Amino acid sequence: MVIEQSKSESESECEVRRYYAGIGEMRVAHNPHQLIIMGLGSCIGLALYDSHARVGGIAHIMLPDGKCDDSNTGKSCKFANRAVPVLLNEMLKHKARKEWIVAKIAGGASVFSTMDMLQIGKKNTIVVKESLKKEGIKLVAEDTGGNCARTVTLDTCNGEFIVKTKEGVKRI
Amino acid sequence: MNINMGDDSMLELSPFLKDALREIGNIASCHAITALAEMTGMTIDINVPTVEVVTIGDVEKLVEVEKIVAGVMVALDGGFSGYLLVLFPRRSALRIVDILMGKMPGETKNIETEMEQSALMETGNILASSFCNAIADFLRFTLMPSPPSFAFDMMGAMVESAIITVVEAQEAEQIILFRCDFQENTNEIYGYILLFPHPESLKGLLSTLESKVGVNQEG
Repeated sequence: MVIEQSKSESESECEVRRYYAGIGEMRVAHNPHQLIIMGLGSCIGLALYDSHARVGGIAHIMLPDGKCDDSNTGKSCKFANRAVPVLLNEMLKHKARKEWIVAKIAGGASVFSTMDMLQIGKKNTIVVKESLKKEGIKLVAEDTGGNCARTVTLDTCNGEFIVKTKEGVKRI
Repeated sequence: MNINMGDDSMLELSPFLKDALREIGNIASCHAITALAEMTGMTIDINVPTVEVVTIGDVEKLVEVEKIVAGVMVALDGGFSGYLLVLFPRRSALRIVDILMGKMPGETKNIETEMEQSALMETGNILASSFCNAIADFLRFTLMPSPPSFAFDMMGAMVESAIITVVEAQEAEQIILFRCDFQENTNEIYGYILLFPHPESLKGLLSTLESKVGVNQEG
């Protein structure tokens, strides 16, 4: 788990940096940096954003729920049923406030459609939504399901969630 | 123990098993590529394969995640289990369709129609089947590929699909990745064979190997 912070206070002059989250990882950053997850298949890209503090966080969620406790491995965003509180906590440490935070999600596709017996993408989406509801975080936008892989970028300037597929680019 | 799944779910491969996997993979890849060479009438070279234990968060650093590839995935079952991916970058995929459908080089512009997808799926399937047959013949056990599944999308998402199914069963933080790249000598066709074995299932493979080579590597 790596938490990234902008060093400069003069945000407009600060160089925009890009931070990437691998499978099961999360990243938190302040304006003006960008948080990116590449090549989401059935995984979910969860973005939380506080528009007042202009703090954003993303988590690369892999599976619906974990049977074993992995909280000590620093990979606690692997499972959909735990990622929301973990990412939320990290954002609160970075001056975000819960009542201002909204969520956007993308992913949960089924890339190899004929082999997706377990429907992991669909299950991931359901569990993330339930978890957001439980925490009282409003889901304001989503781009989930289908057969296309996605690359997502959270722009911490304005909270825009940019979803790129082989078909084109969507801003949600 | 050669395959350790400790309390911290760290995965270790003994040097013996790692070498064995690489060698078996090498033999199997050679057979698969020979099949591809026969189909296309081209000379195709394979690179030295690698076997690595990779933390799942880092696996996307090993492949070009956003690269658009034509990918065929099969599930393996029998002597050991896991997932096999045969991937062709976009340009190579278009060239293969040209060759198989008797078109002029460059005539295929995209992978859209069922015919184009089917040609690539069959290519991947033949490679995967040759790969499995070679291992099964060599070790004298059965290794059965499932029906193939095709996708034309980002490489990262395909690798992710294979990882998820392997990790789901094991609750592991690491996966074992066998990778073999191959290319046609004028670089018109390039591709990758990736194998993600279920770590637990390698115990069966290990005992087969030990009885075959007549040594006991258990410490």
